[in-house]
Amino acid sequence: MTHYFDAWLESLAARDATIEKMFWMGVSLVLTWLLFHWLERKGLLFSKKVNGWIMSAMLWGGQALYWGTIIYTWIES
Amino acid sequence: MTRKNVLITTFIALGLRMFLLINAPLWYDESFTAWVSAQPFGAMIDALMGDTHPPLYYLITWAMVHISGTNPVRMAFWLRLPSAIFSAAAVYQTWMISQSVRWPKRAEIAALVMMTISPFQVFYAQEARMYAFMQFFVLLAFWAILDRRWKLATVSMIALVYTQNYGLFYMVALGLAALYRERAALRNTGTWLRLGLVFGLPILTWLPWAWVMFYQMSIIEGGYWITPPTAGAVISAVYMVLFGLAQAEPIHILTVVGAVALLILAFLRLIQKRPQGFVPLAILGAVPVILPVIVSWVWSPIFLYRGLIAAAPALYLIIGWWWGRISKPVLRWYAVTLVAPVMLVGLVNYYAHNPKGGTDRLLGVVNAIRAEYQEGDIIYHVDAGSMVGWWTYGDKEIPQFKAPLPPTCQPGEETLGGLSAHTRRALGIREVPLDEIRHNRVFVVWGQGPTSRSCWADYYAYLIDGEPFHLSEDSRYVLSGVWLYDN
Repeated sequence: MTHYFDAWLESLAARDATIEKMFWMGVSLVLTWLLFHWLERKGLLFSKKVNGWIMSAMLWGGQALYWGTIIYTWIES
Repeated sequence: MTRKNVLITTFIALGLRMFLLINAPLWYDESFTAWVSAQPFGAMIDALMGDTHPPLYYLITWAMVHISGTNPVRMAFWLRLPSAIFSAAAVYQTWMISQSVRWPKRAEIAALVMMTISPFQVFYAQEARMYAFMQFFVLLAFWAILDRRWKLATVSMIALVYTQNYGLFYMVALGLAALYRERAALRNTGTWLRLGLVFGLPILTWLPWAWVMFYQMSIIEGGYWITPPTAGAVISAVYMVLFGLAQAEPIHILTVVGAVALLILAFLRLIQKRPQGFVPLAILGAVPVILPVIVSWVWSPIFLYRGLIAAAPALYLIIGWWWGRISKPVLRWYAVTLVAPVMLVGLVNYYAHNPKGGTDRLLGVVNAIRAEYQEGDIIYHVDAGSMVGWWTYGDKEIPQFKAPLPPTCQPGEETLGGLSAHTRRALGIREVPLDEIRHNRVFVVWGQGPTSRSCWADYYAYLIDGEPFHLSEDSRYVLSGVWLYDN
């Protein structure tokens, strides 16, 4: 094969490394979510009110990050 | 959803699939479809025997090209039209399946919306290849099995195995779904006889083609371009099938992370709650992803993301079910604000920058040669790849030849995934050393990329000695252009 093939394999390996990182980030997100709910159910966290604040902060913080990134990317492009 | 609303959704889907249908030129694979379909019927079948796909889809495209003629724009419309129609039909079929498994209404709506606007679905609805066609038969057979319409299931599966080799993986998924559907009656011999007939007939009917398929596999052995499926390749494939084409980099990270989280949560909840009808859907969503990975490990790499297209409706129904179960409306809409932009941005991106790649390079070559061509000139393609696009967009009257296998290469040591010698013969491609062709001037068309072989590039390097007449691309991955020589 030619050096173009090697370059292609390198790009595939880079894609794999990136997407595998994203996959584990997704898994971590789910685990954090499940852990939070489990602790909440077991009563091992804070008061119901504080738990609600934490939950809201996670949800709306995530939403702000998401839309912030979309708008930033749009402006940049 | 009522039938009327589903029909309206299906027509919206058809509209999205017809919108800018011929905006992008036919790319390499589509031009191949066009070229073989324009042959006399016998020559077309002969050409396909040297390719990697079964012939059923080409019966339609053969008719289409013979209706449209070979004008590239008309041909693009007529060749892509069946894909658009079959893809829109898949929206209706998703509803039929949802009704069969008595899926919740909210989940049904979510799945139908995602099917309608999915950039991945729209991409293959506007491609003159067999993927939308394959999806149609998978969903028809799946619905027929759920509804115990065994004759329809049999006919659909016969069509499926003659449409795409991935049909065999879907047959396994359909078989498992049928076993589950009939699980209460498996002690009954009659059930086994019926299932044997329903699945045996497609396999028996396929057997004559199996010989051809083994021949095809022997031709391409060691010369196929698909790389072994890594974990990254599988994750990437599932993401693409669900949410379409790559977004801009920062959004891409968020959407992949979100999609992974969404799928894991949906499957976890599905296994926990086990709603009625979830098993067949989980089978259709997971088996076509898992089986090709296993086959790739134990035999040869064959995992290809576009083959997973027919798993998408089941995955959308599962994600829709999870979404529909979110009890608080505010959280349900929260989820919508995360998923909808991914799909809509993907769809708009698709229309704006249709990534059916590579043809721009070829059109540059065509225009450059057309502007300079004189009587007595010839075109010499070092690789057959450029001949495929040339057939669609170039002047067919200009004499064309292809460089033969260099003596420094082993037999079969050719461009990975390129036209096989069998197909080239059937298409009437002339392979002659340049010094044996009478000509005034020669346009050498050079296309070298990741799938090219170094023995070809080294042997024919003298043909690109000097300044190019037209350089299409000189990048890390591709060197392509035209070199012009006087005799």
